[in-house]
Amino acid sequence: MKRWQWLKDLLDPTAGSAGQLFTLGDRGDQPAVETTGPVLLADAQTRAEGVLTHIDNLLGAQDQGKKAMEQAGDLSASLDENVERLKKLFRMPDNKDLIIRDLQVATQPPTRAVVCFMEGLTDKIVINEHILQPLMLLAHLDHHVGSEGESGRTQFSVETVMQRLLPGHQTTEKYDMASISESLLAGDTVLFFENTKTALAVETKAPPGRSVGEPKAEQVVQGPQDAFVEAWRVNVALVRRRLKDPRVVTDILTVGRVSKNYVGMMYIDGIANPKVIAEVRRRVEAIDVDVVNGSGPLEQYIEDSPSSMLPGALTTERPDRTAAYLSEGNVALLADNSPYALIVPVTFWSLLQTAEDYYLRYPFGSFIRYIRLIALLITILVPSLYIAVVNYHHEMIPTELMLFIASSRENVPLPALVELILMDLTFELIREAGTRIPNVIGPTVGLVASLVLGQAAVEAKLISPLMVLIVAVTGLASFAIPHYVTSYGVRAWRFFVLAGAALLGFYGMAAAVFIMVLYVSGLRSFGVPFLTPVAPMRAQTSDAITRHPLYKMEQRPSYARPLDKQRQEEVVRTWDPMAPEPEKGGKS
Amino acid sequence: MIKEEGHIGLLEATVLVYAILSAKLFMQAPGFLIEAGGPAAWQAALVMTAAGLLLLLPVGALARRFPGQGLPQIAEAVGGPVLGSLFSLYVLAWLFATTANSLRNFTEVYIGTILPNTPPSVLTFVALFCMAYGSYRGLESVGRATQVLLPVILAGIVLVLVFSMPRLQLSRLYPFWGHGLVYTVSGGAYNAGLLAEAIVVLILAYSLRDAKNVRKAGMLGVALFGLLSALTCAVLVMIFGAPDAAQQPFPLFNLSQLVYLGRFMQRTEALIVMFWFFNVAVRLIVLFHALVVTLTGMLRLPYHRPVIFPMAVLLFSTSLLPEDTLVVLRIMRDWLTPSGLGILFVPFLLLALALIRGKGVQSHAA
Repeated sequence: MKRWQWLKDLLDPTAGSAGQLFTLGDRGDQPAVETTGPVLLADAQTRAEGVLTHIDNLLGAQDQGKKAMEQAGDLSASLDENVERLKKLFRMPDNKDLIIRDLQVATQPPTRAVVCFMEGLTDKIVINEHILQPLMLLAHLDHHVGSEGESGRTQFSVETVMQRLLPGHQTTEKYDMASISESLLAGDTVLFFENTKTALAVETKAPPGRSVGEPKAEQVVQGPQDAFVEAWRVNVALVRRRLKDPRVVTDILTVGRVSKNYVGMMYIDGIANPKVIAEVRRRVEAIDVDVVNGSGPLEQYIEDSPSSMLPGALTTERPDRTAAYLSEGNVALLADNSPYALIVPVTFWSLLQTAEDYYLRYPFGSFIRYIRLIALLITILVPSLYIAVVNYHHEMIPTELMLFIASSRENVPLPALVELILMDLTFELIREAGTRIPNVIGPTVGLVASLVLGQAAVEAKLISPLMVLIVAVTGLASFAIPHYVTSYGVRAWRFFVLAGAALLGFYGMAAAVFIMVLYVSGLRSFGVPFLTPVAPMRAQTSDAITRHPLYKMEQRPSYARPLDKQRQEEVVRTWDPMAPEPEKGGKS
Repeated sequence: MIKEEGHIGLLEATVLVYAILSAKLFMQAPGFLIEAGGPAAWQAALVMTAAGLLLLLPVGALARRFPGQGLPQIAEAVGGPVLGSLFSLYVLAWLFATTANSLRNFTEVYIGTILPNTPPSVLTFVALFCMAYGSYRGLESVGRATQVLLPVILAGIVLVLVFSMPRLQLSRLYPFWGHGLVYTVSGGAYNAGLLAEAIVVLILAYSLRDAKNVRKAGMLGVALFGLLSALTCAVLVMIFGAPDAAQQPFPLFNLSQLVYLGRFMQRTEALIVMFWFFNVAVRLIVLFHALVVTLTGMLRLPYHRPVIFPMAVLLFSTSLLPEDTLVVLRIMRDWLTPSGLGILFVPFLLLALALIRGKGVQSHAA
């Protein structure tokens, strides 16, 4: 029979399709009311219960003073009602992450309580030893409380539990379900008690995370080797370790309706400009979306020109770099779940700098900056120069070189432009593949792609050897641009300039470069012109391109308008007999 | 005033004034000066600069009397709706003709030098796109971009002059007084019309943060251009001789063709011409922007961006009207340069009227 049915289904194309295949309906169909109704109704019911309880509590507290009014939340005096609402809120019993445990607090008389926490986000040892054990076993040993019962044992009150029974280092009172759910989701353990409209949240956070490791994209030879991790609190600690100043402020902002991601906003009070701080806070608080997953999306929500080729904030995985920028008056945003800090405001020149610049002696620091600047020019201009010269301005090439180019291209059937675009696209393909494939086979693919493909293309006479050289030099130069996102932008510009060169030679190339410069000149990062301190020119430009000696960098960069401009005294090498005499009266 | 513009500082304004004038060095300005001064063309250039500086003096006084305002607003405040509009209309018409002529001239330079087979309309379109885009981004962006590109802009002239030094023949500068001091002075003064584009500093005065900087920017820009044009004229005369140099339509390009730095660097003119693009593009953008802003001010529009596209179309059509390069050059030499002298008198007349009628901020008046 089964075989007969199988044969029937096989032969009849309509059989089984309508009734058996899973489908979400046609495009544009709204979910049926039967599907959405119960969900919406349950939500509304939970909310209505909360609102009604809140109103009851407010009415009950109106004669008891301002503090009672403030503490009147939406918790009921009934433990069961509170737990039931919590279960509905967390979609239990479908949701298995929320753990609810009943217990009796060993007071006189014993008090019913419920302990709730999220599985996986909390520290079980802390819960067992610092919450359950004191409440269930040790409470009856406490004989020194003022409000003692007849037997000499402690009577129950939330204050007593908080002050004498819970040794957790952070315990806060909660009066409403929203803040309770927020605490639970952050990894706290929440305690509800019978006949009490107050819950207690005990800090038990232990989210999964890796330990501090080495930087992946911003390695240095000399200098610290630690990098940010996904836990923002660890990242804040890494920065604080470098800035032992009580003026360093960490403000906590929350973004995302669903993700409720913490963002630590760090700055140094007294150095950072309050206008910049207020603007950063305003932009972060204005984000009203479901999920903000780390610093990358956060940057896109707060930067001035999100469609720009260049980033409006500096991303760094280095705590030392973050600390350095904070000390210059910038603001750092450390988003939870992201091993990168966002530094704002940012200038174009800081995107070309690395931490290494400052760890090296200043001539070498300047030298590597010049190399990077040359690398930037090579990345943007070299392919276009080649195409413009080969296609339009042959006269520029010395005769010997022209003959060499002609002979190397003699057997290549493709026009130089097509040749270059093919090679460039292949190079981008190798780069993308190298980034995505597993580390184990990554180097092999890179080797195969670069050596074998290049060699094969030349031998097949599809590509001239000179073109391989040009694409290789350009690709190498693009790797010298230290900031990852900037490197993307520069590579995209390369194609724009190339299009100009292909269409109109040097004329088109110059037009493309001009438009590019014009575009970048108009960019801003949190009110700061992107090309400052070069354009507009600021007197203090020593740290934009050339890295001057550290002992001569007396002023903080002026672009972020720091409140305290002076970084150090004019003469810091006071022991040096060659140093000028410091001026009397201190700061210049 | 115009919204979405931003502000520029003294350095940016100076660089802009210099750039709009120095672009003429790649075209026919040195030829005009050499024609006027002969071997003493460098003296004619200095006389031209002195005359231009003198005529631009009232610009600063006007900017201080009417802080935060541009030429159309000042003209209307001083001359009333009829006379003021006539002043603005004269400047507008001259700017339009100059921009269209420069656009075509610029196109012809490229066709005549490095892109002989390209249709003029293609080059004009690309230049016009740069102009429209620059004006769209606003003066702040243009000022900063010019500042960033200033080393390249300067290199485009200075390198050619420096690399030509091995060919210099000092004897060609003689007779020292050229055709005679009277001819040199009168020729130089007549060519002060070449500096008329400096009027844009008054048109765009509203975008400078400090009114005092309007005069400074104008003066510094003109002085820098004057010095460089004197140097260029002297070098051209010393290499080609006055009669030959005066005949060449693009003398600086011809000079760049002579640059020889060993076997590997012997034909760099294409590269040099690429550097010139930046300078000419800045000139065209600023002229175009001044044109758009003048019209916006006359029509009392709050934004300049809606005017950009129609103005660009008009310029495109007008710039393609002349039949050939000779017509373009003739228009510039016979019409625009003399009428440019008139443009330089506009600030003078406006200031005189303002003083007579007691308009503007009296206490800050010069």
